[in-house]
Amino acid sequence: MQRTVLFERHYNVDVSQFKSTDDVDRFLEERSGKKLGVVRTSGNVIEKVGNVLPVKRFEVENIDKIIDEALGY
Amino acid sequence: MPPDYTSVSDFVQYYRDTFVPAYSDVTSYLLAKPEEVLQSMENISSHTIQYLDTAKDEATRRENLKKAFHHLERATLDCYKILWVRMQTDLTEIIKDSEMRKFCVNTTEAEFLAHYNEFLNRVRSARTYELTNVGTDLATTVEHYKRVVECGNHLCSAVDKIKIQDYKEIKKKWLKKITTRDVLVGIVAAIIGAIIWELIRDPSYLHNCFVYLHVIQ
Repeated sequence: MQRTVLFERHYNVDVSQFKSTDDVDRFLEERSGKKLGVVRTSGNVIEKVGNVLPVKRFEVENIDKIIDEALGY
Repeated sequence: MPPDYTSVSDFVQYYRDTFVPAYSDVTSYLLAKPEEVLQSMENISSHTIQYLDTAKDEATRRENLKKAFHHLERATLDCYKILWVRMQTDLTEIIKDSEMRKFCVNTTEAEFLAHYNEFLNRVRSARTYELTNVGTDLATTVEHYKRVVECGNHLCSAVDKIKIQDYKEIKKKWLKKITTRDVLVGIVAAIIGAIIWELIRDPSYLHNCFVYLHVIQ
């Protein structure tokens, strides 16, 4: 069983107790007191140029493209 | 040892031992489910259903299980990549602001910058490894990205979020004060400038002003 990077330390739990993603979702919803939503990593980057109100980008970019751009490739 | 992609027990073991920890990391950081991972899970269930369909021949079923396994590996990698993107976004704000870097981090600025450079170097080497091993060794690529995220987590844990909030509020307040002062100084300077310019342009201007104010006849 692999260890988590931050989940176990943050919530002081043992990840081996979580058998599925449903278990993780249920636990996080219980701890945060809210239902987990869905986020698009590339799509929820807020446009900061030229918009008075924050506008969500809807075109699908891939994560690799974001990483490459951040690294200046 | 690489997993047997046509084995159900290996698939379940990978899901529990590798994917669930990666998923719990990204979900707990975002406090939301990443869409990219959910799409992969949809692909996984679609292939798994094909595998469970006994009407299909054995070779097709095995091929679908293999595809589901690859999607699972890809989803695990995506979890760490998404985490990196989010951590990088959060850290960039601090790195770009020298005051924030100095006063909102619970470590020295030099140490913080050194760790940040290491964070970038690690992702560069992870990306290079990924590109040179496309389709051959996804498990090691996942390990590379996990190490990058560990480094990012070390950096993020040094950031004092309460101090950042205070710093932003103070900065906003000062910006308002400075802007108001600058506007007032600008108006006064413009009036004085206009008077001086009129005096230079027309020397009788001062005399006319005094006459207008009944100071002299």
